[in-house]
Parts: sequence; C-alpha cells; structure tokens
Amino acid sequence: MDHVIETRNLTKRFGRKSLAVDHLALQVPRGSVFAFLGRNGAGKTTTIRMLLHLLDKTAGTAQILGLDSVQDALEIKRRVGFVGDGQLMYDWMSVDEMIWFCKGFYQGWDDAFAGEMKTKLELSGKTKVRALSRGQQAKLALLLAMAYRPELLILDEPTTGLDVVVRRNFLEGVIELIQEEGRTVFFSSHIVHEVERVADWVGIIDNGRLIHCSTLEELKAKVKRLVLSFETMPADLAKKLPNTLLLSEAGRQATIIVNDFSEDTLAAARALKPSRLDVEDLSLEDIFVAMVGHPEEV
Amino acid sequence: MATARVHEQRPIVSSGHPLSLCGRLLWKEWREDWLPLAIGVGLPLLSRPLWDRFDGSPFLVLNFLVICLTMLWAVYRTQNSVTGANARTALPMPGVPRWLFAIAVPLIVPASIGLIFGGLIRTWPAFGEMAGLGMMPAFTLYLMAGYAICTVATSAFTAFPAVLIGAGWMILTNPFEINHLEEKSLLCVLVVAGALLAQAVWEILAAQRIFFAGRLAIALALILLALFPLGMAQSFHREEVGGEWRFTPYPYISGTYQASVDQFHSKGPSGLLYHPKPSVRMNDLIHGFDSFAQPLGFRDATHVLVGQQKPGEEKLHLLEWDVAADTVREIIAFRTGRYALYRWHSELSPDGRYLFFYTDSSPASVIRKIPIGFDLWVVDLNTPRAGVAATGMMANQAYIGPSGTTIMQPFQAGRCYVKDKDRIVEINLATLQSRAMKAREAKR
Repeated sequence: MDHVIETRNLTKRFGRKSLAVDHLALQVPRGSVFAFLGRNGAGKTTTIRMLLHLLDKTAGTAQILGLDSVQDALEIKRRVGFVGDGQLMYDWMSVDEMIWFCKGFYQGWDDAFAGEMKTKLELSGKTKVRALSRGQQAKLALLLAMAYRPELLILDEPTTGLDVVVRRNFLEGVIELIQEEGRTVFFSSHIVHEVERVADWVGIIDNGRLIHCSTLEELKAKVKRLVLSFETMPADLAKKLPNTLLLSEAGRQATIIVNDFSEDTLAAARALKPSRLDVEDLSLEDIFVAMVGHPEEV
Repeated sequence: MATARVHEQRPIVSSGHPLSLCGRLLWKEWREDWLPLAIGVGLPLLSRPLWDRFDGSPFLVLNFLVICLTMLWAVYRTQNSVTGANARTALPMPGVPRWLFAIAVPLIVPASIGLIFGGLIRTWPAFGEMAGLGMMPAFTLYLMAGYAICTVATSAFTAFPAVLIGAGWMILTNPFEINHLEEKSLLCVLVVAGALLAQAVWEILAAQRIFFAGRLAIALALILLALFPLGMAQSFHREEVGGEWRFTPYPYISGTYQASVDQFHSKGPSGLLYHPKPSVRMNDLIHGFDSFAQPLGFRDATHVLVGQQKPGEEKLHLLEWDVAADTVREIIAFRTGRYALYRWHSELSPDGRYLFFYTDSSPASVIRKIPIGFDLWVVDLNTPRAGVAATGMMANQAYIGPSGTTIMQPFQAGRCYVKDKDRIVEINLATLQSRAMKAREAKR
C-alpha cells in the first residue's frame, strides 16, 4: 500500500521528563480520510507539527509524500495543505488581501477554485481577518490551504471552537471537496462522534503512543460490547474474559467491552453460562472512550 | 528531455515566482511598517523646536521613547510574524526571501529613525562639539542593533525576557551614556519598568483583541508617562556627575588666595539618587552649600563672590561669602536661563564693584532664535542690579570658551570696552547698556 505519511520511532521529548510522542509508527494510506484521535494532550498536535517541521523532533524519522520531513521541509510545505488550530494569519489584512498574499507562495494556485471556495464558504473579500468569526477564520484557513490543490491536506483540530452546525458543515464540506479529487485528508480531533461520519481510517494516540491504527470498519469489528445476564453474578468477570477493556455491573447484568473480538471471545463468554448473551456494535465514541478512558473516569 | 522528466516527477506545484513573492512581501512590510515609521520619524521632527525651548528635556525623553519604540516594535514584529525566519510557518518561504525579509528589510524602520534622530541631534547647538559627524551613523547602527537583539531574543526566549534583554542592552550602550549619570539605578528601574509595563499592557490588549493602532497608542502613552520623570531626572541633575567621590573643578586663584569647589555626592534615602553636597573652599576654610556653587572672584581679601544655580532653575544667584565671619548673603539673582554655570567666565572690576559674567546664550536672552555664542552679563554689585550688556559674543580664539572674549581698556570713565571675534563693544557701566563701535572709533 502507498503511504503519504510514514513515521518510524518518531519521538518528541520536552525537557527530560515529558515525553509527548513516544516512538510513533504511523502509516497513512494515499487517498484515505484518516482521523487521528486522542484526548487533549495525547500528542496529536505535536505529531503534526513534527510532520511539517514546525517543531523539531527528538528522534525517529518522518516521511511525507516520500520526502523527509526535515531535509525536504520546504517542498513538503509546497505540496501539503495545512489548517492548524489557531492558524496564524495577518489580522490586519482583508480576506482578499490574505488570498492575494498567499497566492505568491504557490505556483499551482488556482484562482478559479479559490473564487469558487470563497463563494461556497460565504466569505466576504473586503472583511478584515480580525473581524471574522472563529468559524469564518477556519474557513479562510481552509481556502488558503486548498487553493493550490495540495496532494495531502492536514487538519489539526480544525473544528475546535466552532458551534455544532458549523462544525458539521465544515468537516463534511472539507471531505467532500478534497475527496472529489481523490486526495488524502489527515485530520486530528478529540470530538470523536463527528469523525465517524467522515473518516475511513482511524489512528488512536494515547500518552504519546499509537495504540490503534486501522480502517474504521476493522476497528468496529474488533471492539464489541457483550451484555451478559446471570442468575448469580460470577466473581472476577474481567479476568475470565480475554482483552476486556471495560466492565460494568448492574444487578445481575454485566456489560463488557472487549478488544480483538473473535469466536474465542464468544466461546469464553458462553463458558460463563449466562442466562442471556447479546453482542452489540459500538459507536466510534464508545470505542474511543473504552480504549483511552481511565476506568474511574468512565 | 530532462526538463520534461522533472515535471513528470513533480507534477503538482513548485514555489511561486520569486519576484511575485518578494513584491507581496514588500507590500506587507510597507503596510505593517508605515505607522511605526511615521511615529519614529515624525516625533523627533515635530518635537525639535521644543528641545531649545525646554533646554533639552524633550530630547532626553524622546531619546528613550525612540529606543523603547524600536524595542517594542521588534518584539511585536517577531511575535506576530507568519513568514519570519523564526516563525515556524506552514507557508513555503524559500531561503533568500525568508532571510531577506526576516532580517534585512525590517531594519529599514530603525535605520530611518536613527538617521533622522541622529541628524536632528547635529542641528542642536546645545550639544556643541559632542554631536560630531559620527552621530548619525552611530545612532542608526545603535537602533538597528537594538532591533536585531530584540528580534533574536524574542525568537529565542519569547517576548518578556526579550524586553528585559533589550532594555538592559540599550541602557548599557546608549550613545548618550545614561549609565554614567548619577541616576543610574533610577534610570535602569524606570526604563525597564516603562518597557515592561508597556509590554504587559500590550499583551493584555492583544488578548482582548484591541486593534493594533489602539494597542500602539496606549503602549506609547504609557512609555511616555513612565519615561517623563526619567527625562526630568536627567535634566535636573545634569550638573551632578559621579558617585561617592569628590572633585575640585575651576579653582579661582588670585595671588596667594585660592577658592575652589569641593563637590561630594551621597546617596539619598531611596538609594536610587545621588545628592550633591558641594562646598566652597578658600585656602583652608570651607563653607557648605545646599546646591552646586562656584566661586566667581574675590571682592577683597575676605569676601568671595559665589554663583549658585539649583538644578532646573532659570536664575543665577550671586552670593557673597564672608570668610572671616563664615556668613553668606545673597547680593542679587538674575534670570540667565538654565546651565549658567555650565560654560562660563567671570571677571571683577579692580574696585570689586562690577562683575562681568559670560555664559552660553540662552532662549531667555535671545528670543525666537537659536542661541549662539555667549551672553555678557554686567552686574553692579553695589546697587545691586544686573543686565545683559551683549549677546551672541564669539570667542577670539579658535577654542570655544567665554574666556576667549577679552576685555580691553576696562573701567575707564564709567565705560568698558569688550572685544570678541568680530566686534568691539562699548559698555556704559552706569546704564549697563552697550553699543557696537564703528571700526574708526575702535582704532581711535
């Protein structure tokens, strides 16, 4: 499989003790919509900043579009679109001035496409950047990142601070626009329920470590919820079922979320002789919570 | 063909045309820089007439204002740069434009301010020979270096430490050597406090999304407010040089008599200011004064004529120290303008009645003109009364100093004749008025 992003042992350490990204091995397939999920402070932004050489890595390697993230940083920036949280823009410029200014950096700038996006995103050219709402600023950042038709679009928490309606439209609009041309979208988020509607690949990072990376379907097939009813609740249920992520008991009913679900998991559950056994699919949000949430928080 | 293959390998984009990019960056620079440039160049130009009127206090305040403006501008620019050398931007900035526009082009602002300010300093006679030809390049380089230091410090350590570093550097290296003044501690505190206050307010306003012009106006107003006492402090204590030490300038010698000034300095209660403790010595006898005092001559064997002018005061006080009784009385005070004892020369008539006192011409005596040369004050110590007998007198010698203006045939028949570089002046001692003599009269 062809990968547009590939990291090996990518590590970032702040000071001696703080390990923000821990030997990350990430592969993002070409043409995918890849959701990079993690809790706040899990290491998503740090990873993205290292990919674009906006932050120096401590160890490891990263390749974007087959180019080294450090040696070929300039070429990567020419070929990758980036929308970051709190995107830096000159707030004294108007929308049109900002577009005109950024155009000078890219030879492949498509004026017609930029104009089309401006209309579609309902941006007024005369408005100053500082007068734009947060949502409009995010839209302008998206326009600036896409007008030169990048091969890869990286979005770092692009919807943070946007209201629900804008957030939904924004993410779906982005995916629609970029997927029309079969390009790759790599975006980070901690608002998981939105991701499920647009992503086809999912990577989950927790405490700087990549704990899961697969297609969304694979992930959903792998993590299941078992609901078991008993006449008498057996002791140490969690130990009797392999790969238990989360266990909750209420009366004579136990709800267990298991990882790596298979026929063996089912057989182990049946061996507990429940009066009733149901296997349920989980939403991505439930899976995410089960994988990265601490039991006491859950 | 090789070219075709390259395009096949890199089908998407390459960078924009360098000229197109540079044009856009130049446009951005102009849009960002015009306001600080206008302030930095406009303020010195507009305030220039005030330098003479207020004996330089506006200049001293402006000096620090310009420095702080440059420093804050460097910090602000670096902090908010999207395309700067140290800005980790996602924009593809090629090497040459990146460094050119990050380092070289923004220096146009401090360089322009430095050139204008340095040039204006040269037009200010109060500086005399101090403001040589090197003042323009010196001040220009100084501001450019300050800007560069603040830029680097902001990139490396963020804004707050950068202001500290920049303020420290500028205090230590100011062309006007403020660190050599006795107010050193106070100056340091004021400059750093002013800059930090402005920076803090700036940050708060930025967080509140107050627009740039508003932020700039408030920050500059605060700096001005914080630095005003600084300028005043410098101005008022200009005569007092040094620390815990003593010096004896300008001894006045007549026969076996010698009068001199002993100047001591001691720290004030705050520990920030040094206060002068002058005294006048005649041979072995000493009398203390509450402010700088200068012996101007001996009226007789036991009476010393002493001039005294407190910092900031426009009047010169003529005092008579009776050495035998150790008492001091004021004979007369007359308005000479400030710094009357900065460059001066005095002569007493043989009978001790008239004092001829030369000092720098000042706006107090030369209205609506830039003061040039020296004023000659004639004081009748008996009446007592004082008047400017002549203004704009120039020294006879090549060196600059009032003593180069000589008195010829003094005190004959109620008249005295004074010669400077260009003319001979007759002074009527009864009226204290003068008239320029014609060449034919002078020969006679």
